[in-house]
Amino acid sequence: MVSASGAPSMVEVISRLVSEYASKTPQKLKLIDAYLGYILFTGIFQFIYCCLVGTFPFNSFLSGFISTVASFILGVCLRIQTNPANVAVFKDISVERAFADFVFAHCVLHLVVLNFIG
Amino acid sequence: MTKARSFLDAIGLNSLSQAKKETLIQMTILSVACILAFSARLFSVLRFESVIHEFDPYFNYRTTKRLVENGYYDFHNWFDDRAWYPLGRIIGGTIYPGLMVTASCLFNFLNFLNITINIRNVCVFLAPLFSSFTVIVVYFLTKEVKNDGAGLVAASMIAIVPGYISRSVAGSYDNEGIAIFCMLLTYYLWIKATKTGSISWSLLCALAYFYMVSSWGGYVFLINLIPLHVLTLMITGRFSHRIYVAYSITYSVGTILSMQIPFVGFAPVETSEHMAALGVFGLCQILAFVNYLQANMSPASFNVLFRGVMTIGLTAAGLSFGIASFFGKIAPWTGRFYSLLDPSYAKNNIPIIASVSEHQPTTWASFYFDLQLLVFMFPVGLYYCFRELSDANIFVILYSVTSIYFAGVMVRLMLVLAPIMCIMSGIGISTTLSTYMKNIDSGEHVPATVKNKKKAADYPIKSEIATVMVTIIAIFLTTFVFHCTWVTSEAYSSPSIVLAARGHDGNRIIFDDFREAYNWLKFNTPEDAKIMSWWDYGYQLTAMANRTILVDNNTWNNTHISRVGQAMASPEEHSYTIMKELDVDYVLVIFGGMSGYSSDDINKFLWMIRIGGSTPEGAHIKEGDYYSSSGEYKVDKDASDAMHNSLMYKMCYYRFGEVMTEQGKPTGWDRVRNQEIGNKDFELDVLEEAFTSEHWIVRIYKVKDLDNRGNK
Repeated sequence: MVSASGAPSMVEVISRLVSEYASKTPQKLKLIDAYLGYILFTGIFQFIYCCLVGTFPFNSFLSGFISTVASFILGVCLRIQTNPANVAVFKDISVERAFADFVFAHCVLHLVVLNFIG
Repeated sequence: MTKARSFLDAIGLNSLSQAKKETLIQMTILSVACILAFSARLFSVLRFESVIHEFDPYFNYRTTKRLVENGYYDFHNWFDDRAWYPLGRIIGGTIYPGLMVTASCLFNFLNFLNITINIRNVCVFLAPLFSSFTVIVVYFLTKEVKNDGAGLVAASMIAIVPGYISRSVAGSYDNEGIAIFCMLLTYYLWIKATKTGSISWSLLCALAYFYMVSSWGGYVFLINLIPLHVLTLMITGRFSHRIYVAYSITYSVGTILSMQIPFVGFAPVETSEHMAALGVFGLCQILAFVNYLQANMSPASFNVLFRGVMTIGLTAAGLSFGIASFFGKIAPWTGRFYSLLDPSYAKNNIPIIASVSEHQPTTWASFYFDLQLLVFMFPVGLYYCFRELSDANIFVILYSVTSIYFAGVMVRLMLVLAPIMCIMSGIGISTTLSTYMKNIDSGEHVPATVKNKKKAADYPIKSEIATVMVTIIAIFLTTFVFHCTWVTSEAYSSPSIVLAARGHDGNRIIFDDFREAYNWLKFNTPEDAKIMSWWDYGYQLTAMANRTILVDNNTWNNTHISRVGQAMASPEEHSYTIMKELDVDYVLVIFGGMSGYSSDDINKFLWMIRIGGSTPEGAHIKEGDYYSSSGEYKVDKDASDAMHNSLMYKMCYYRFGEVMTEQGKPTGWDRVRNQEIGNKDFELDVLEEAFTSEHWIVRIYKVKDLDNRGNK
């Protein structure tokens, strides 16, 4: 995309975004981001497999796919709640509490997924 | 004042701190409200006996008995061959099991403690018990939205409001009894989740949503209201990390939980009713990501990125949705819910949905009858909510507006409106009272700071006006209580299976014909006898008479019901072929002409004709044929031939021509239609009378066998 004078181009924006992310984000959040990337990859892989092979049995596909989606969401929520920039929003939730909630939610989620996978 | 003080001193209450006093008052009021909620629903148990009411609860009772006797695995996989003969019904996969599982858990728990309560009594008293729980949940919900004063008023109101009592009276063992509790619990946990933004509250909300899905088909309302709330928050610029956490977790975990119920199946990802939730979920992710980028980049670079991604994203989303709808991957709105958006749809296209009396639009009189004072205090509460907008307030505002619309479309949904009316009125009354109570000059000298004096508006006779206002509100609340108790006692406490009337000398006459007839069937017919009746009585027949039936209240198969309608409406010979085709042994009709019972089959006959004529095999049945020559619906000499010859007419009025029902009227006087029947002296060719109950309300006929030699 060709830019007007003064406004940065798309390539510049993205490269600056990547370099700022690499330098400014704390180590813990980068760890969570790597975990999120892995889950995203699992989800996309399942979806492509389903598109190729067909949806039978649909409940197995759904339970696997929703498992990745929900795990991704829980990871994002953990990241939001442990991000030092968001302390004002989550006043009563310490980092330990966020992680405990995260584990508890995963227990319930995987119980349901196990029941549904058939 | 000093006398009150010394009394309180004597019972040791004055030494408590202010906070403890408040807690004591709150607990007392809540306990009284809970006990009141339970006791107000006991009228029919006291007047008659502990018996299951109406029609649908009998089915729920039968399935609960099966669950308790045979265990959950058998219940989950149950195929019922005693209903919808010859089709059968897959019960395990076509019900919402929440109610039965709750009742059986309670039953097992009580028996584990060696409190041996009969399963029937557990079923009868489950709804009042859960209404007590609803009182507590409404208190907490209103406390979250406003303050605990409003909570107490709302809790007291929900205990006695007739709109809720109508479907949760003792004996009304139906889904709505626990569904309202589950719904309000889900809403309370949702508001808690949006306020704190914690993962555990959102998870609890998802679990409560699962309980709601398992208990009632009205969960669709929840799964559309919560996304609507999130969407409104996005539009009004209140979207924050807390909302993101709350909604994403509730939706994702809640969806996979809701698919565990066999009846719901894959609907959350396939039907249009759930697509709004999915759409808002996607929008949440996008918005959160956009906010994250915006926080980490300069505005100029953000704009560039934004515009590029937006164009690609929107076109992709629009294309995929269009393709999915076009190829039918996303099912359109089903009939029952579509008729909520377009009320004329059911009347024109699906007569079965249109014929159910609960699905009719609500009249103004019903609104006042069911809600009384709440109708007037509701706008007050709404105003106070608008005055201090917050996330939770926006939610209750949306809930109230949408439920008013739906309650106006279908009278059955008045039940969904009642709790939010109580909450809003609680807010209105509590705020009004606290505004005026401050001004009452009670003679005590409370030290007022200079700041307070400046802020309060000063107008003449302040204290007197305040006293008058408080007295007016007290009078309103008192009349509300009287109205609610009267309505509950008169209108909503009838078991429908047992009727009562006052005789000439004032004594009570009990009409127990239904149970008499069902028990006759149970003890005097073979085990595999098949009974044909109109679909209203199907559930009661299977639960009490324990015989195979053709059609019941589930009304899932319109063609089969239409066939029964054709059998009822056709002349005897034609009906006989239909009845032989369906293997019918006995036919049951409800007749009110002798006793004056007005919900009988002759009054429902027009619907049988309409439904019977709505399928191809019923082409010979035309509604116009059954009216008299002047176009009225009559049963006397003026009635048409089709009417006189129909099986239903003959079954209802067989031998009725010889009976004198009222002084001064000819024999065969139908007390419901107030007409003398036209065709008095006739014989039945294909049926023989098997049983008629004491007041002629239930009449059972045996279908004669085929002729031995094949000629007539």
